[in-house]
Amino acid sequence: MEIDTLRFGRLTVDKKKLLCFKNGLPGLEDCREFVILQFEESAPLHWLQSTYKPEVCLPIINTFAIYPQYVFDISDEDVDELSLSGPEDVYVVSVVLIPEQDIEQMTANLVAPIIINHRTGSAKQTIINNGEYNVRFPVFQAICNLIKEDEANAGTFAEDK
Amino acid sequence: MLVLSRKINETILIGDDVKVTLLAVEGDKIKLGIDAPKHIKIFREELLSATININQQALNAPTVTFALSGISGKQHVNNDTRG
Repeated sequence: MEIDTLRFGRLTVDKKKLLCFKNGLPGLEDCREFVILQFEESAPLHWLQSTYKPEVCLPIINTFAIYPQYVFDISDEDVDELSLSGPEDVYVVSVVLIPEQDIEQMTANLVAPIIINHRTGSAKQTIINNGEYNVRFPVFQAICNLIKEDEANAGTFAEDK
Repeated sequence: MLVLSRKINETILIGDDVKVTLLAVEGDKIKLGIDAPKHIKIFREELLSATININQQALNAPTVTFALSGISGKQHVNNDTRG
């Protein structure tokens, strides 16, 4: 199917990859269907794009990639709502806040992970009750490290520069 | 809004299965103990308002690209969707 996006223009997306947020996202309750857009140039950041409102597009990142020791309990209610049958169903991302003036100050909201059942496409943003996580956790350095690792793995990183 | 006074270790019941007990008072902080069934979500209100705020602000993010030559953010002009 084709969707309009303000950020990336008109795009064709695979219907099978649509994500259904039954209640929208906090503050964006009227947007219930999203798709994750991935572009090589902006990886490891991805974009959670509404299929309903072209202007609704949030930068997200795989939470475990930037914070491997991230731990939280998924409530029974969320397990039921998302029909999760095991950890292998779960993909977790966090919304990234990128200040226009200084993108190095970008942060991820670790208090409100987006839990995705990538088998069924159902998803929700939930608030976790774990005092040690911050709504604005700095992620720029972790992202730079991920990019370096990627480049080293791909063998394209010029060491002798 | 219902307003109740409680002393330390006194409890209020909300519905059939939520119990809130005042455990301690230290200066301007009080400590509450909450017993509730697992399906009832309990979290600090300010975390929800911070998340609403972050989700709405995140829409204005520059379209960041990463490359060997450096990192750049193209300014993104967004409509206000809060209407």
